Amino acid sequence: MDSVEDSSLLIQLIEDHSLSIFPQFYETELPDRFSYSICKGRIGVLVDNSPTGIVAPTSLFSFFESTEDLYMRWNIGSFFRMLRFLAMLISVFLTPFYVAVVTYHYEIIPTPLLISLGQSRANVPFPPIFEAILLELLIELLREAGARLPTKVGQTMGIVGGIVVGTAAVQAGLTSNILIIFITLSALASLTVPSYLMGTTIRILRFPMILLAGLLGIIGIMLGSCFIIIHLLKLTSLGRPYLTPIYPFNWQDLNKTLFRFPHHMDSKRSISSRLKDLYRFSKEKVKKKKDIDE
Amino acid sequence: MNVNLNIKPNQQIRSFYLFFIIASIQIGVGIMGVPRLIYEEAGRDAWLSVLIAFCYISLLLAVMLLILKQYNNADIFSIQTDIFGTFIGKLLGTFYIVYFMFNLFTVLITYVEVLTIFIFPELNKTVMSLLIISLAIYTVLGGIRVIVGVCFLFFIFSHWLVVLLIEPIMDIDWTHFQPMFQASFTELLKGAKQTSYTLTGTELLFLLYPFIQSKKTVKIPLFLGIIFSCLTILIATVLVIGYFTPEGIGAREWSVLGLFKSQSFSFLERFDYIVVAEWMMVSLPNMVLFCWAATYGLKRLYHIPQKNHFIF
Repeated sequence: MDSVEDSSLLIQLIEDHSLSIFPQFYETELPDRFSYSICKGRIGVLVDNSPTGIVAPTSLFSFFESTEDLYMRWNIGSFFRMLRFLAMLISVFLTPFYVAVVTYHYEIIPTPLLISLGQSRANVPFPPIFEAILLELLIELLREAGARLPTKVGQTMGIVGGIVVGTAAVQAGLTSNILIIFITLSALASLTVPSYLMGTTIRILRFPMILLAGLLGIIGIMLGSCFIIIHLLKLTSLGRPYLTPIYPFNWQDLNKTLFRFPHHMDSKRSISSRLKDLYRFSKEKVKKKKDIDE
Repeated sequence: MNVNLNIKPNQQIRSFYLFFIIASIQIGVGIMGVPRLIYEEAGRDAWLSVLIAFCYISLLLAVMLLILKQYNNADIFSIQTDIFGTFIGKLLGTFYIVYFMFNLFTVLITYVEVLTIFIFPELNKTVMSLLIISLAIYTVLGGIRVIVGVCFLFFIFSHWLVVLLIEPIMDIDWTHFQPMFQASFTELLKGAKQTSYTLTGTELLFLLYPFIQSKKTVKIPLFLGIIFSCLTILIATVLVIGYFTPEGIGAREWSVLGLFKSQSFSFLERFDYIVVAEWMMVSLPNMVLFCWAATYGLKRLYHIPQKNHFIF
């Protein structure tokens, strides 16, 4: 290599599976996130002249963690983490579900909703897959165009693109109302992911799913999701399985993946990091509780 | 070939996953139609046939464990060549391989048939089968860890369907079972024979035994798996007999899917589309395991590397 300008170039040179969409290393600019990961047992790499540091090995669930989950109370932090996971599922599957149901299986929709859906789709000459891909591409174009603009111009672009073009598209008869709602929901949901790499992955994953849904209906969605799950099972990050607390199943490691226990219960370190010293503090000393009126 | 296998530690699986492997192999495509088949033989006492089948299968499993314990770390192919000599051993092993391949194709054909009837009447069956098979091949190319992971994850993702059965359970008519104990013992045995297609798959223990990390804790997950799958078949049979009329059972080919047809929620009306699509997650681990077993058998007997099998 002539020069490594940024740490992400280093990632692309050393990762296990370069052909996969999913990122296998975690990039962060926050020092508290970096030090938290090192205390958890991961390896952190800093590259000269680059503002981002690399953390490895990662699992799929660490891309949905953010450090605010640790600083908030445990129940609120767990709620937000589960919300982010649900947001990822919504973002990948909602638009394909709409395309599949409206094209092939309109019997699934309850009858009152079907009437209003029929009214809004009556003006649209295109099949649902075409309008879905059109709107998705529009949102991606807006995002790309607004990415490099200065702040004020970017905000105007957002308003113009989002509100005006969307309303105009419905009135011109290019799309239906319900699809705009779904697409906006998916776009919002994909923005909740704390890591930018994973957010882009989720947005790109939506396109093949829409195509599959348009070709094969609900079976296409099922085939696509089975393929994604099998692909995730095959991935490794620095040799560690990608779905670590869920697939090589460890009860103790489930602590910080989808929900979080209070910090005073957090006496053991995670098993998957293969650390020598497994105990942070002794639980018996913490547990000495007094009786009611002592 | 060597009698005892030497498996590297990073390819070994914990015995905890045996529960999911056995349960997912036995709850496959067979469970959709099996209540009707048992009902035709044994009448209202079909649930007794399921219990007889359970006893028989646990006996079989105990015998299998006894056979495998005689050797250090062997699977069925090497045991057969060790005991019967090379030629007969390889012949018996080839029977196993052909049996696994037939099983794979029956699962695939049944599932594509269900898809054709329930969701897409004009589906091109060849294309659909090719798509599903290519998913199975993609999984098998990842090795035994990915296969066990598929069984584990798809088991968890597909068993929420059992919760949907609450609605038929509320509508069971218990008088369908009376008078009880009318069927003769031969009819019960014939009914138990009908469950044989559903309960096959425990032979995979023969192939998977060397891959298990600790052989001492093998028994509990195995028997729990068998209990779970027989319990599911029992619940399905009891529900079908209690919910449908006697003529209604004979009218449908896949009775369990008929139980789901009446389900509807306020946000989704026809739930059986989703159930049939979700059934792919139930039948895909079946196909993956049989595909792996057939190619692994070819590798052990005839020393063809597993990657080259997929050229056919």
